[in-house]
Amino acid sequence: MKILIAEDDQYIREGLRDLLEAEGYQTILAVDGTEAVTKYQKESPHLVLLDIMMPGKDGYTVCREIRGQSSQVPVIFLSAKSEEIDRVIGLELGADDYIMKPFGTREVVARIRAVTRRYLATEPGKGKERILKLGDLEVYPEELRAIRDDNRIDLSLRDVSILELLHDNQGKVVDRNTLFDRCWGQSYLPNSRTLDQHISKLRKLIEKDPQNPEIIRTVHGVGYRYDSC
Amino acid sequence: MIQSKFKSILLLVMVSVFLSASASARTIDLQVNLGTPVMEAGKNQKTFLKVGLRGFEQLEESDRAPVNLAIVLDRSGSMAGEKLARAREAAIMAIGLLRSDDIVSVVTYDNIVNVVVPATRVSDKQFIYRAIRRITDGGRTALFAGVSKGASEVRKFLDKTRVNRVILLSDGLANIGPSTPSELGRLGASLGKEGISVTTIGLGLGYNEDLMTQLAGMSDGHHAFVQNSADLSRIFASEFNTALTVVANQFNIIIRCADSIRPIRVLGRQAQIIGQEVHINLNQLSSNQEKYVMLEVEVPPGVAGETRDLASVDVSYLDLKTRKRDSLQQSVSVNFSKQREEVKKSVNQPVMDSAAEQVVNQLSKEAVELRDQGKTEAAKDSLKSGMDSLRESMIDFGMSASPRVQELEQEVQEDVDELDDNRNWNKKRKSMRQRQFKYDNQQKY
Amino acid sequence: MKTKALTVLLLIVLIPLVLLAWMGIRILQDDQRLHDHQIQTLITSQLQAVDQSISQYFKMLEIELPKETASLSKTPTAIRTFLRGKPDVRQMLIFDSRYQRVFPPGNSPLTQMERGFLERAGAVLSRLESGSFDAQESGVTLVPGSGPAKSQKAPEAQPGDGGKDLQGWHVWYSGAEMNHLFWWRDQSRHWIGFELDPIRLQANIIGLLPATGGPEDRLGDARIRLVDAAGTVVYQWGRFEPVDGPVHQLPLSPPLGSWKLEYFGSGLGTGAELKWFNVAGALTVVGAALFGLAFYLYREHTRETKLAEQQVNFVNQVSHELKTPLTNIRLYAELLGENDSQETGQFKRYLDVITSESHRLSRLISNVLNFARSEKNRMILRPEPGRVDEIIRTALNMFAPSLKAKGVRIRFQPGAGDRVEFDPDALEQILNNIFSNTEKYGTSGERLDIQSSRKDDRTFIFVRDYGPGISKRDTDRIFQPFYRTHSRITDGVTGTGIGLSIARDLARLHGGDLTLMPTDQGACFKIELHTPGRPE
Repeated sequence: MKILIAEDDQYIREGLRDLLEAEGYQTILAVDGTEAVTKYQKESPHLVLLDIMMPGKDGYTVCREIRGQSSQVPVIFLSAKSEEIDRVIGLELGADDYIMKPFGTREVVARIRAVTRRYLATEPGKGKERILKLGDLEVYPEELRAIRDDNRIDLSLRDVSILELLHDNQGKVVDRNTLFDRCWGQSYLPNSRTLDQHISKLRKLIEKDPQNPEIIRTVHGVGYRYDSC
Repeated sequence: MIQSKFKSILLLVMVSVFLSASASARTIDLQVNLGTPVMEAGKNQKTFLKVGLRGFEQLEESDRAPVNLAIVLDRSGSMAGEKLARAREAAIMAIGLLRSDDIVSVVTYDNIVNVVVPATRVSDKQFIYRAIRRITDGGRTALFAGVSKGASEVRKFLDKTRVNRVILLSDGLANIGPSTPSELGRLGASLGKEGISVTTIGLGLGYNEDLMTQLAGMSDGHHAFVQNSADLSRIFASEFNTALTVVANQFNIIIRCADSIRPIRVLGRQAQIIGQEVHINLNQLSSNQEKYVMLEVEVPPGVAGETRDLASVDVSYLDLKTRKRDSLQQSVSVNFSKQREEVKKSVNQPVMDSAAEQVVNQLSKEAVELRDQGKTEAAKDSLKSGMDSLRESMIDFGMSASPRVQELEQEVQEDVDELDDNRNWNKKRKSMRQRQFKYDNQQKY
Repeated sequence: MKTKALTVLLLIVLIPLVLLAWMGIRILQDDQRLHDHQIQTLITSQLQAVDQSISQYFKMLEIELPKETASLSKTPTAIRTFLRGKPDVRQMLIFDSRYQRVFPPGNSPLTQMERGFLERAGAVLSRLESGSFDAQESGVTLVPGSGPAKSQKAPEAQPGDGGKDLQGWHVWYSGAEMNHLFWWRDQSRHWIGFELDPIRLQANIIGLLPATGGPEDRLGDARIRLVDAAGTVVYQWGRFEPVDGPVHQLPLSPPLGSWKLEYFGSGLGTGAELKWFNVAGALTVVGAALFGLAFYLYREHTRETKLAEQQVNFVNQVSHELKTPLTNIRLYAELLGENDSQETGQFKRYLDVITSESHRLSRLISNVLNFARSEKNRMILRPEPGRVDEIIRTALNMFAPSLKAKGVRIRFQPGAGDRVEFDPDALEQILNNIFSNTEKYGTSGERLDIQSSRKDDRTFIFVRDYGPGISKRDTDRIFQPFYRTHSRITDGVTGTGIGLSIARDLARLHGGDLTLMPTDQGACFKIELHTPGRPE
């Protein structure tokens, strides 16, 4: 999934990029409103994160122009002023959500995932919802969720794609390069530490005992594997 | 005895004093004459008795009596502009003729009365001039009040030995207070009794000439019609000159007719006829001025050759030079003759001229009255027939038309011609009134 | 705010002005009344003086006329001669003691004037001739003389009286003309009458009265008119030109009783006008001064308001500006925290401090902004469906580390887990501010109890600590902005002093309230919110 991040502050832009890429999204960056519109037309992202106060065209204008192209793409506004939010809602620009500055990672992740879920649910050609069973864990990829013992576990897009890959290759070893290719994409520079950290975090979420993983098992020197019991 | 002797001595002394006084001073010349000293016998007839008074000549200016004048100026709106300017000029010029023992006051009126200069001795002329120059025009005309005030200013220094006079200049009607000719006439008569005469100067064509002549006539003052304000100075000068040459005033004239003689009327003047007595007051007489009283009497038939006392005339007056009252007395008698020639020859031409003047004047007044009633033709007829009968009676008296009568005839003819002229009637009427006034009072100018 | 200030200032100007004007008008009216009264008195006395001078004239005639005729022989000739020199008198009338007419003579010729008189005075004469000289009966006005014989009604009432003190005036009309006859009985018991010349009488009266601008004219700006019985003006003086009717009238004394004096003038207003002008001037000056003062105050006020606004705007601006760096600090600290696995405990602790402090900074900033907004009444709620307990947990999570560090045990009894409609941001801020307060002042009790419950549309949250508590005196004031209790414990503790105030504002905005519950120990805050149900 591609997300367009339009934000004039460099660090927020890059922080959001890192955060969202860690979640498993592709990101397109725009430093002002004009670039945002251009990049939107060129790249057709699945979601737009739009800062309101930007040089050149402001967020409202960008939103209106995007919507003017009959696009139903979800838009999440970023704003420092609640007055601006009032306007976003008041103007009925069709914003899907907003995030107030200052924000932490959790708010961003929660709201992006919520939008992603809606997007995935309405994505044409997806057919009926798939349910992956990994041991006692039920994974609902389109809801970015897993359930164990009635406990809901929120997952990122990347988490879901890792679990999907392991599930589809159950009983086989998925080597690190394949994981990188499939779950991070070619553009991403492979870094073994990145992969290991992600798996470690994922285990904390889904494993009953992260120290003795049952779903994602390490195959030393090669990669990871899932074995159905 | 002793008393009567003393009385006769006293009388002698008095007579001699009187004689010496009259020898040194000039006196008033009294002439009592009949128009027809010889009358046709056996006939009841009328004749004219003329009492003529002539002022003695005033030789030196310093001899004149001090005057006490009030100049009453109309300053109502109609006087605005040149009229008032000329009036101021004329007043200032006239005051210039006065001496420091004269008294003058200046009163103006519109709807209110201002005493511009209270009665004061003419010692500071400049002060008076300044006050006169400040006079400006105002509103309506309280003529009665103005004259009353002027008279009361004169009254402050009222002195029989002065020439007391109110000089009124007006161009308009009286419209506040009494305002009819007869009322103003009565005011004039009352002032005349005090020895205050009122001279009225009518300016322009807007004033009421009846009112002005009545006021002046009843007080034995003067009247002038000044059509053009440029003539004001001249009229003021004449008026002042008469005032400054008054030699005697306060005349009481009593004509006592003999029993058989009936006094009919006094022509022109105000007179009281009580039984056989006729009383006439004259206010003043100027130097060399002749004033007369013309009395018409009816004489019962006489016998040829008879001389009958007709009347005796007493005149008493105040000599302003000596400041004493003087009296004069004269009697007149009539002779009767059968010869018409003798009667004609005896006719006194000056008396008859004067009588003709008065008769014509009477006709003229009647004509004005008729004309006022709109009976222009009747007025003309009356004038013509009156003149005709006058001429006839003259011829009756055996007189050829004298130059004076011819003059009068000419005047009458002019009047007859001009009575028709409606456009100029106002002016004509004013000049007729002035002339009538002049003949009534033997005004000098 | 602005219109209120304007109204107050306007009132400050107008009330004293109106009061002053009212007082001024009252004083002036009183003054005017007094002035009017004085003027009226003055006018009356002026008119009376005029009347006096006229009656003086009649009195003078009453004395002079008998004197002048005392030695006059009663023959027609003598009388006529006398009359010829008498300007004031038109005619004389003499009756002997048997009411036989002596003059004008009945048996000798009469002058025209005398005949006129007999006609004019016919009615009077017939009465005299018949011996009944009674005014009442004849309908002729009998005016008692103003002399000593005032009380005498008619001469024959006291026939025994010898002479001079029998006198009086007859006034009658012939045509439109009013005639005056002065009569008296002389020593020879003759009735002697003088008919005044009416015209001359008028002229003499005019002579008596002041001329305008003359030395006797003390009228000033006024006018006096002498008006006869018919209402026509006989004489008038004074510079004032009448427009309206007379201000005052006074009938003349007898024998001119049918005439009157009329006073015209603006005299009643003259002094007052100046005073009105003065008062108006004073009022204008005071008004101008007040307006100046008001304007000054208003300008000061607007300047201060503007300054304050500018300050608020500045704080606002700065606060917003702070948000971007703050976002970055939080974002990156949290990004860093997510890669924690391999890091040592110390690194994590430092990161936690950075995170929690950035949270605190966020709260401060949002408090400041909310305060500025509440000052402008611009706080708006954005309710959305959610669970109250979740928000309580989030907030508690935020404070848990620092509270635990101070040894506080947290106990949460959730009771509001239903999905309801509320503004999570507002609730979080309310809780943050209360927890922040606890963190600052209430940690000494080492316990924090939180309890939530829901009843109908309302949600209740109790937050109780076991610290020193809040004294009764302060219970109300802690909700006022910038108020902090000055006990020793609070000394040295920093804070903006607006947290609880904003928390209460938000709670009230949310259809509820924030109150301090009475407890035996510590402080117990009760949060009440209006939270309509939102079934899933």
